[in-house]
Amino acid sequence: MRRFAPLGLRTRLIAAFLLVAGICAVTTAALTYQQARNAILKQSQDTAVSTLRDLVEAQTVVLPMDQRELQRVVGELGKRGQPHPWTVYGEYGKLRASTNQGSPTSAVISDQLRRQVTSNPHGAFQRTKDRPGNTHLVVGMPAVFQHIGGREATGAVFYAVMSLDTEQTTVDAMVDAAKKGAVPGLAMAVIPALLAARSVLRPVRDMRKAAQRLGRGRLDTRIEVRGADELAGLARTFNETARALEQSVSELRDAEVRARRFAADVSHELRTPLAGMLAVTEVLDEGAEDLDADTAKALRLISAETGKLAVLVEDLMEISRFDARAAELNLDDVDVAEAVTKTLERRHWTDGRIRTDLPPDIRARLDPRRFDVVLANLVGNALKHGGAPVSVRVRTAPLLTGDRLLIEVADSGPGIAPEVLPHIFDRFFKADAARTRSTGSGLGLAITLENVRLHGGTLHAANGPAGGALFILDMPLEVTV
Amino acid sequence: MNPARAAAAATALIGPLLLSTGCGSIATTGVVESGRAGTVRLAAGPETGMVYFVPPGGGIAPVMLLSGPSHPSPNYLLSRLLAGPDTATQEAGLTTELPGVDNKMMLQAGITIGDDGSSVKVKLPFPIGPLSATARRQVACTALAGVRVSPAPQVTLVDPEGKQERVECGAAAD
Repeated sequence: MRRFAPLGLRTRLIAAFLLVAGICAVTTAALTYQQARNAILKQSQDTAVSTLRDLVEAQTVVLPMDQRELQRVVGELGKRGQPHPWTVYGEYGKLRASTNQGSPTSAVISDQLRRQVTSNPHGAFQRTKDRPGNTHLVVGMPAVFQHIGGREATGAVFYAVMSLDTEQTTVDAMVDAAKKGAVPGLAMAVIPALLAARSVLRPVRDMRKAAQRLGRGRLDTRIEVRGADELAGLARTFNETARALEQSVSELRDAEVRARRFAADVSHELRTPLAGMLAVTEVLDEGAEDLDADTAKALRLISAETGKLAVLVEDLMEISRFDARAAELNLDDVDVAEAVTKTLERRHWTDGRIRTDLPPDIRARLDPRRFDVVLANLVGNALKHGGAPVSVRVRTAPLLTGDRLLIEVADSGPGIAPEVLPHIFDRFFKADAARTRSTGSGLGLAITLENVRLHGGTLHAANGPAGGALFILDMPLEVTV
Repeated sequence: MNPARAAAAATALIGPLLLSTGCGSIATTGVVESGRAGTVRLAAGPETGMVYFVPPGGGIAPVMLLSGPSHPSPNYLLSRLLAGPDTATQEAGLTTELPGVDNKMMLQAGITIGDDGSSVKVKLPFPIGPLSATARRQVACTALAGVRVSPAPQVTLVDPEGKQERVECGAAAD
């Protein structure tokens, strides 16, 4: 279950910083606020309780009190409220008096407080809310007197009711300040978060770029190692890996170059003696009729094998040129239908075994000699390994990157076995193990593929819907170098 | 850490904190006891007699006998107690829980102090069985205020049938 899109490292770091800063700020603010609020309230409450007690203790009373006496005492107590002005209520028996004209008792004095101060004569206070929601501090102070070595309740209790609006305002101001302070605090936390994210992200970005360059083949890519942290260690490892990779790749390349040069040299060295041998075998062939049958047969065998050897050497040299990237394109504008017809005629494949589908007026820019080699190889291969009739179909297809030339060569043979299909363009690969001594060099399709690639095209081998092998050549109509 | 889980953790951390600190307003409280009561001076001196009556809120409250003699005898206080609250006391809402008595019965009442001053016997003209706890305290405290001995002696009530019962001036711890 993942409801969130994966977030970037920068976002996560900033979020973590904000979270930590937020938790710290809120925790500190909340605890400070709580302490400050409690201190403010405690001071107010203590002041109120002790002030009321002091005022009560300054009083002289007559027992039983009458309404006038109670009103007098209440009036005395109500004059000097601390820390804020207060309203004093007095209760004695069923008598009630207060400094609040017209209301001898108050609803904010709870029965709980009344019971507490009458049953247990000690000072007490309670914070209550009245109907409109204002908070009041109610202080209850029973009046006691000295009597035979102890203190005894007189039965009179005085209550001071004081609004806590001032304290509420102070508390509100503190909450407001905490809220206002939190936003700039969190905004400031973004700065170290960005710096931290930068210090992590820059090496990561460098490394990604370096890895991309390395992937593109630039094996000399190295990263600048900064500092001594884990990312620096990673950069160092990357550099070491790149160095090791560069070294082994260059060794492999050297070995490959040596092997190719050796093949090219061997082919080249074989060509000169072979040319001489071909000349000699032609002379010998002409004189073979004068020899006895066995000798003539042997002579013809030597002659045929020498010819094959010459073809093989030519193919090897062609492959070597491709490997050495020495093959060049000699581009020319050609009529494709004409070029195909010419190739078939040159090989004398005009006896009806080849069916062609050549739309007229397809002009292409390509290397005519290599195109001839490609087509001859494909058709020759189809005739040799597949079977007649062979169809050659030429089409063009428009594509975003430019028009393509498509040539399909299909035979009527048994097709290509699935296990052989991936290796069909390999060098010296023989599809039929029993036919190792075929006339081909085993390089024909490999050379064909290299020629197509040189044109910037592709060559696919597959089995056609009718069962025969199908080669599809796909190359640009306008080859550019 | 998953951002959703981090946010949940932060809420779990901060939420209770904000709730516990009661952010933003002053909370109400229960009754909190804070220090001793205020001690007032009485307008009359210690020579003035004192009897106990019952205020409407329960318990007992002292009333000074300003019209009575100075340094009154315990028997005088007992007779004033049995006579019930006077007009001024009634106006303040104080009552008595003792049954009413006539003059003949009043003569049967009396307070005798033990020889060593550690015990006081209060003879009452009515049966003590039906008396409420508050009524017994009224008698006990009035007797102690009359004998003026410290430490306070033990008070025993005696009724006409000779039944005796010990009483305390202090409120029963309940």
